[in-house]
Amino acid sequence: MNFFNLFSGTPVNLPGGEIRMIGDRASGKTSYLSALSVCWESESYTEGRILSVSPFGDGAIKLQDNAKNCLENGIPLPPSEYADSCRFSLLLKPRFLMNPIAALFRRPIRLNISITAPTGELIENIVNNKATQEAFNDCASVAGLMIIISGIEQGEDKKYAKVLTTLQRELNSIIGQARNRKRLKRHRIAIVFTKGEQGAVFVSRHDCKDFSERKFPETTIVLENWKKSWNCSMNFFICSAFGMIRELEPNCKGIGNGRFGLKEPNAWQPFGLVAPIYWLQTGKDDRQLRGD
Amino acid sequence: MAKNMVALTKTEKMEMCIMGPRGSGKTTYLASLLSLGMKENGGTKIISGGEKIGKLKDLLANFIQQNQSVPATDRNSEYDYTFGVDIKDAKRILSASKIILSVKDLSGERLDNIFQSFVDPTGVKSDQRQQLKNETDNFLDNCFKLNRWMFMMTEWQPERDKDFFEPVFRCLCDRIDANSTLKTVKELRIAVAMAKCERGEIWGSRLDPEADLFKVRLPRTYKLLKERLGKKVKFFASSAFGVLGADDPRPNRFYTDYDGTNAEYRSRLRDYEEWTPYGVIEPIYWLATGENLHNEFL
Repeated sequence: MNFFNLFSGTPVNLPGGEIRMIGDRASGKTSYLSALSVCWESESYTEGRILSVSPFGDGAIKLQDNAKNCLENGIPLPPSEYADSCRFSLLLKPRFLMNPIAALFRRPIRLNISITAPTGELIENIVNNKATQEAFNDCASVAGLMIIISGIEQGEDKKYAKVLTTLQRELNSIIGQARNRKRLKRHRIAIVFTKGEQGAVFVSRHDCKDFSERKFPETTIVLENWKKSWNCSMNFFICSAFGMIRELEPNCKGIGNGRFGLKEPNAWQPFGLVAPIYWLQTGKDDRQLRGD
Repeated sequence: MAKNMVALTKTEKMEMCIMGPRGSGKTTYLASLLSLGMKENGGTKIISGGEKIGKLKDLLANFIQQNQSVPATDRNSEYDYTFGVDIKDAKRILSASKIILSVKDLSGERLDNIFQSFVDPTGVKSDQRQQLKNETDNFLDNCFKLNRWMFMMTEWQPERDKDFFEPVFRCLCDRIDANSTLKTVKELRIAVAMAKCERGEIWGSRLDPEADLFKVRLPRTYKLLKERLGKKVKFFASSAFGVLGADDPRPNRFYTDYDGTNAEYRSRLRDYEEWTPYGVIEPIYWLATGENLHNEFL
């Protein structure tokens, strides 16, 4: 019977790793992680590429339970109680061009990731010159950085430019001190714009770099300089934890206090959630995972 | 089969803002786009969305459709709407057959704010000037995050041309020059539309709005924009209400009796069934593609 059950074989493990997620308080970090933990339940999500997302550890399990509850009952996500550190194992269908061996033997691919959002609101602390050396050391300890920016916060360009300049300088001094300049090159930095369901972001979802240049010009210049000085990889993404319904309507509703819930939980179609993680871990830009 | 394998047409996406003096018909223009999507009109299919589209739908159902005048947009507010416009005249290979646009409807006092902040601050109390200037600076910064702008105009009195529009647009052109390194400015397209072209005195000029409307009626503003912006700017004629029919050029709107308010706030749609907006797709098409949409009148 299993012979006919496609992708039921032993998964092929892709190199996993740790990711530090850096984002402002309202940038949508918790929404992102919650949606990621249950994204495979959305039937149409990237045409069934995501087979499952398994949480590890109390934080990730609670986050997923909460997300399931929200999805089933249409209630808003709770504040970021458990989102500090989450470990997930993602099972994906392989694509022949990207994972030929796994595709040929009909084996799923597995991505083990650990995403940590540094506690103490790193961005606010950097703005106020209160960031501790431990926080920078922590960020410097991983090769995958995910910078989460709310796509609708237009007035934040200057702030992010300043924060990222400081962050780069600090990381540079830590990693540079270790005389390990080669490590800089191995870094991957994903810039993820959230709230892709909002019209202004949605129309640019296939031109993420262009979106960044238009909406966050100063930040983009800082990022370009960062990329050039480290000679590392950098990529831009747009995602939505809520997704759209009926083509142009955001599947979210405001419920006061700046919080949002799903408008139609049954029609939930998030997009762009796995693409940045996949790229951070493998260096491959999977257009299907982006939702292109 | 071949059509499925090779894309013969394409979808353009853009984000734009719509600006203009109070009462110039910005919201009515957007409501007319919405109405086009609700009617069978020979192929132009328009879908709408956005978190705040309910506001526009409410305006259409409870005001325009009920022959009520469109209420003014709240001061200092902005509403985002999303539209998907299927272009029925996209017949050439590789021309855009669909435009998806996100529109920011900006309330009308912004141009007044630019005037009072940077041209003539005498109308503002001295202790409020700096605050207004900061707000306007902030507003303009946000405008420069967009590469597609649309201006709606209604007036053409010579003094308005000389004393208001020309200095305000000069100020905007200065800002554009000062921000010339921004990607948005390099790609900037500005559509300037004369709204309410159902008015008898300009209905005939709608076919060549640049020569017959702007060059003649707003000569100073026109000259300034052409000289300073060149190909970044294009002129259009639009009418959200339109006329009663192909053989009946009477405006499809009426004014209620004088009640002390400006006529702009007293105009109402006359016949919803006959409602055929004119020239509402053309500016959008040019903004999205840089090409002219075929005009069936020509």
